Amino acid sequence: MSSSTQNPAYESTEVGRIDSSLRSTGLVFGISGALWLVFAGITGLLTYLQIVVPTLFEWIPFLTFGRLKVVAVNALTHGWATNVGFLLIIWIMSRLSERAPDFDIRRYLLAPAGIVYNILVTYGILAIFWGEATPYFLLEIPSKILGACALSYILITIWTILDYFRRKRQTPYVSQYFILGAVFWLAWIFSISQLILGNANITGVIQAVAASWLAHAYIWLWLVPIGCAVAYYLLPKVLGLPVRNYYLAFFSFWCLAFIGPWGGPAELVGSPVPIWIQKLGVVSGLLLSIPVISISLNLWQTCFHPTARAKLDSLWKSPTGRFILTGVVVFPFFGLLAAFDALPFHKQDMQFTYWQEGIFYLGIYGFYSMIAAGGIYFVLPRLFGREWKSSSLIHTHFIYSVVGFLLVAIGFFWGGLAQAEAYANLEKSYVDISFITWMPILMAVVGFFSLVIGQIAFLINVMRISCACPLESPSAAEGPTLLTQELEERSNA
Amino acid sequence: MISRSWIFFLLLFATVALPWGIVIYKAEEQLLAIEPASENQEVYFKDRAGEEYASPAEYIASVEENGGDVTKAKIDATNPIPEWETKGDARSKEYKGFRLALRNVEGAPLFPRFEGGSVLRGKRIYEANGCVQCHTQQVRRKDFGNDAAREVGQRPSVARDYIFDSPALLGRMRIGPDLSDVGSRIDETSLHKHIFRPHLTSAMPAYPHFYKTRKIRGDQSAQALAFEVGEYGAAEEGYEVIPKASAKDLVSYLSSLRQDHQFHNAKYFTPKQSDAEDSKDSGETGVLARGKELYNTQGACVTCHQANGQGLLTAKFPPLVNSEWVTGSEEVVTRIVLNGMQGPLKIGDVEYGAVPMVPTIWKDWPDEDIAAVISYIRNEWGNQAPEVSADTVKRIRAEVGTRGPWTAEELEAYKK
Repeated sequence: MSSSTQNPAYESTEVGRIDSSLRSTGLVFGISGALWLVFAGITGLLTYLQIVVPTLFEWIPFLTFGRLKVVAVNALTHGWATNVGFLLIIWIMSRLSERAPDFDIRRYLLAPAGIVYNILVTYGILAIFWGEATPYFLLEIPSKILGACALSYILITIWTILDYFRRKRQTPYVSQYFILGAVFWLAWIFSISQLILGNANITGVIQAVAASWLAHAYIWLWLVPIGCAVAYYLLPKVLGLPVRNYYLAFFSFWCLAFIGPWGGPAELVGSPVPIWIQKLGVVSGLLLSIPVISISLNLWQTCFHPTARAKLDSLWKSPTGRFILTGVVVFPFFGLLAAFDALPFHKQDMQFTYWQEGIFYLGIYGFYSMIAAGGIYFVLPRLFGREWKSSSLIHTHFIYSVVGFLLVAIGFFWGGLAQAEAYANLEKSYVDISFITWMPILMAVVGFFSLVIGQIAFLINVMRISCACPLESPSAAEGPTLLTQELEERSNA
Repeated sequence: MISRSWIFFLLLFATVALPWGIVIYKAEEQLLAIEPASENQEVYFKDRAGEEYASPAEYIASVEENGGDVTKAKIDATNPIPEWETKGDARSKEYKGFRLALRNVEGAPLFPRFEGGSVLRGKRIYEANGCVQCHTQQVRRKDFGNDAAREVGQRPSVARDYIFDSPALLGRMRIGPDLSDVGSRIDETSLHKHIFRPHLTSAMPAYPHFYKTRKIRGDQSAQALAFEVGEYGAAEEGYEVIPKASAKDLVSYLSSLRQDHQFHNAKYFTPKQSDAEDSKDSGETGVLARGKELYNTQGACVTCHQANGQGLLTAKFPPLVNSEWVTGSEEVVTRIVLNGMQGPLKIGDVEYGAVPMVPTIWKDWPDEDIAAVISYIRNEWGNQAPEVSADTVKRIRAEVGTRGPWTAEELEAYKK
């Protein structure tokens, strides 16, 4: 852990003190998040490679499709998404409270919470390899381990709420709302989930109802609010312009707060659960389009409004701006696809197909990971007081990620459509369907391969900035890396 | 101070607490209650001492007979607690009051069965290997998707099918076929072969580590898979494939997966041969089919007179088969259904009527339904009598109004 002062002038300011007090937190969450991301990418690649080549791992029990897929999804969500989410919300909340603590409790509370959390997730992933997985999407880590993770969630929730009450400025900023909502909901849903799924008296489809709820809440009440908080905080910062419509932002938050928690059973439309639960799922699923549209409108207007056009170039040059912009552009596509997925006439064809995977991966890789990576590109240099070592690695990360998530999403959507069409044709057997979906899944596999390349570039960069490499130019700590800078320097030389 | 922050947190709490509270509570209430299947299970009641009764009325009668507290018995009898809701947690004290219980009709299979042993171990293997990632275990209803047309299962799945499952393996992906009814489709040997080496017929990965390939010493083991030499490229000459314990458990779990019992809310997609004949017998009108459905409604006729119409001798519920009260004058049977009946009366050598029949849920049924159910009992189980029309029921209902149960003597007057 590096505690040497790289830039005394910066650290003497209030902002600098806040940032440097979060250094250990950033180290834990940043590095473990990036490691999980690469792990998830590789396991995801190997998972879908097995659809293309079914005989690949048949002599290695723990690498078979059923286990590896679960590992990939859980490493991606509980590993990468949650870790990096913690870092971003802690940092944004501290920055917005604008007050460095006198006694730095963060070092003793947050980093240990992160270490414990990552040990638990590692243990959970190993348990899945061992064959202890539960069958519920995003809750596959055995409930005892996930229940212990809830302790970490609660610690971080308490910290964030305390931070909020410590704030200097009384008027809240919308990112604070999204963050408070996210931490509160996450701690709540995971505590409740373990109460319901861990209760031996509750058997049968009621478990599936609860589990669908939790999976939905994990995406819509945890990942989406974090993405929004980061975008609402960093976009204006990079652009140098305020959010286009301040009140619309609060409106979207409350829409999400009141509609989001009802949505889970959309996944169970058509399943053997009471019909009123299915209808509730459809209605709340469709209503989700309201917050999706209002959030997208606001963020798109912030970026693409005529008055912002002049600054769009600076947004594109900054790695933070470029990644977040991509996430913001993807968000309405992901959100509306997910919302309208609840429509029964659409659902009846698409329910058990790759279409569902497409929506999930578009959301995680296209929306969330892009915004989160953008956030990391902004946060880590400030925490460590160093500059990113290589802008070409950032370039690589960006290009391969975009190509990757587009190929993965399009591959799965294509596969889902092909599957649904073949399923409607009564003469096609499951073997025929697996031949028909071979090409789309190959496309997704190529996409995963591309993602992995980008992720490895990201990991190298994160490792190099976190570990105590000698600082090349101390002045670089002042401003953000610009993707054009290095190129210009090269051309000058 | 009640600041804006506190209101904010209160609202945040409400947003998650409300859906969770309302929906999960309601769903739990609805889903955890097992209603008896129409044909193979019957409801009976137990009192504090464990004594069995066929109806609450019988319980009240017995309390009265023994000089107990009738008022208390009546209060208890209005709301018997289902026994299965009082069990579950072994540590909690078992409820001993007046309660409702389920039992198998003799000879009929209990559905769903509670499975243990090898089947449960097999389910653990199914979970551990993530089979649920490619195989669903749910058949969707006829108007939703084309599960019926593809013959995914014999009938749509209902919540009841999963009542003993923890976890319930509904699944969300159908890369391979649905397995909710695989036990009725595929025999054990084929399942073993498919798990060992599926490549010729499917895109499923193989699970050869559940099996042991070994050289035959002496005679071939009785447990060995019946491969022909070279079949699936599996068994070379002089070698045999033995399923390990895990394979046996997994296959016995898969064989136990059957959703082949018909419920009133989950009918077969294509009626079985015998059902088709039944409906042919009962004519094209559909009145008898409707009558059958009503007869078997929970809490209606079937509760006491049973699905086979034989009644319960032990509880002194009279049979409907071969009874002149049923097949005799329509005036009589309609009056009994509308107002109930009180003993004593003799059918054959047995004396019935200790427990009065009092109209409960069918009190408010429309005339057409009453007519349908009477027509049904007059033409089922070998009974042969003309059907009763809704107009007759309407006329009699207007005539008798609301009154207590009839006695045998009173009804003599209506026998032509």
